[in-house]
Amino acid sequence: MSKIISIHSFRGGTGKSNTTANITALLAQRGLRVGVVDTDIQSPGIHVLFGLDEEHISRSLNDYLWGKCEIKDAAMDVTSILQQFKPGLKGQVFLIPSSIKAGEIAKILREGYDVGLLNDGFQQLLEDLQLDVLMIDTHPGLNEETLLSIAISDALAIIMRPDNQDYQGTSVTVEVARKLEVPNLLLVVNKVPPVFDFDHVQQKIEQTYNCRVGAILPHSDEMMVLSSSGIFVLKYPDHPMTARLERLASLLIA
Amino acid sequence: MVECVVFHSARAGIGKSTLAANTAALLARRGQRVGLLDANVQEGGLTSFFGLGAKAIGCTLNDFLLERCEGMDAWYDVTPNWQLAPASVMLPQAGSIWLMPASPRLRDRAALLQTGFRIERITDDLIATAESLQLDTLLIDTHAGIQEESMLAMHSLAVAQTLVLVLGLDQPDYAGTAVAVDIAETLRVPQIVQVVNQISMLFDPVRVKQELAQTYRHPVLALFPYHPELAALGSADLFVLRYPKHAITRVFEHLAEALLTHVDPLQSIEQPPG
Repeated sequence: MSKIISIHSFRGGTGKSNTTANITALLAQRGLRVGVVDTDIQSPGIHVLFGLDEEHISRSLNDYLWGKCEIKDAAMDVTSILQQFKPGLKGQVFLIPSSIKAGEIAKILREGYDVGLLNDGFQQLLEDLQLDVLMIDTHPGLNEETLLSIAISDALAIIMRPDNQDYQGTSVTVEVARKLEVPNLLLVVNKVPPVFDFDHVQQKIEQTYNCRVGAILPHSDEMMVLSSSGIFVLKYPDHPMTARLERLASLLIA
Repeated sequence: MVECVVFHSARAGIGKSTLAANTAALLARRGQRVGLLDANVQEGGLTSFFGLGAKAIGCTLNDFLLERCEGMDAWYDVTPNWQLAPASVMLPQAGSIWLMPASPRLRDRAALLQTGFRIERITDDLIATAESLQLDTLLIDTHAGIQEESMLAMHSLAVAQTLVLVLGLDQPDYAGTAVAVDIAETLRVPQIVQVVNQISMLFDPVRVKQELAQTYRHPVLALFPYHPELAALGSADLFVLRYPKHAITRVFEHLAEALLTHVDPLQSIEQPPG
């Protein structure tokens, strides 16, 4: 059975795209066929982690939403890019990027699109590409497309930082996910200062939100130096952070 | 005439609000009357730095844009309790901080998206507000990225003397910063400066400064290393007041000083932007 996993956060800058790309790589390492859709149409970014820029992207999610192509035509097989880091990687990874052309972003923001097409597209992708897992990288906040991707997800990871600015929005998002009856709901606490007691953070967050914490991810200097130009778990397979992300990946596909 | 400084970044979560709040505290400690506008009407969180709980907040920028209140109804005196600051770090005449928050209520955020609003309502009101509150400096914190919500930032730039671009050393920062610089230059913002935040100790700060100044043609005023103590505060307090002698506080002070001394409207008329 294939699964849809959404990675979301209420505020920007929490590390959604990074987490999505890393979980994707870990699942591919296990031999799975994984699709990644960048539904952050307003501020797309995950393509950077796969080493892609404007020149590489010929078709995008935008073209599908405008009826210019089928969604599978916008899927780029990025497996070979991951294999540069990890020769012999068994699975396969397809990326469906959002357009990064300023004009196209402006057009879709101005004109809007039929959100229902997203759901059809996701189902079509699972079928056409015979995916085991479809990962959805969302736009922060609670808009129509986010609600839709939460509603159809088998698993949802809500990412937050241990920061007062993140707390209220996160609790609203958790409530919404509960109402939408997401079967597997996890919180991920990211960029935790190394001076914190991680067990204590986990306990406190689980208590406060009454929701399971899938991972506590420390702030990492290596992650920052990599600066979105590569996928951490492939570059640092033995890093403790990778072990934490491995556990998160297992929880998400459980 | 009030000095207006806009804080903007290409990417969210890079520390705009932390910089704006702490800069406000330092300027106020020097005796200034400082205004702080949270123009991030969708995700703003400046209230948390001043311990202003959601329940204590009535009118906000969202309400004002929705024409539910007058401008002055949405400004709050959030001046820190200077008595709590050690005497050694206090200057004789402490000033004050006034905050116009963005709404923490989801329905107010949604209302702006649904009904739309006239941005001019706030930019037109700012000068009058600054006069009645007798502000020396007005700091505007914006939504990240150039998109619908950041129209507010663009309009603020028209009244701003200084744009502080906050960036980390991450790929999405680069393209976004270039776009923001272009827009600010087109709008003839007299002074554009960069502040680099959350950088790893593994980078050479001197080289980073030089390269960024060269790439974006505007000076780097300050460079903040990632610091766990700052992150550990979790936006719950003003770092510079809690840790007045900390090395990071000195970087904040340097920034506040630079903003004060560089911002010189006369000089900016003689120097064409770019």
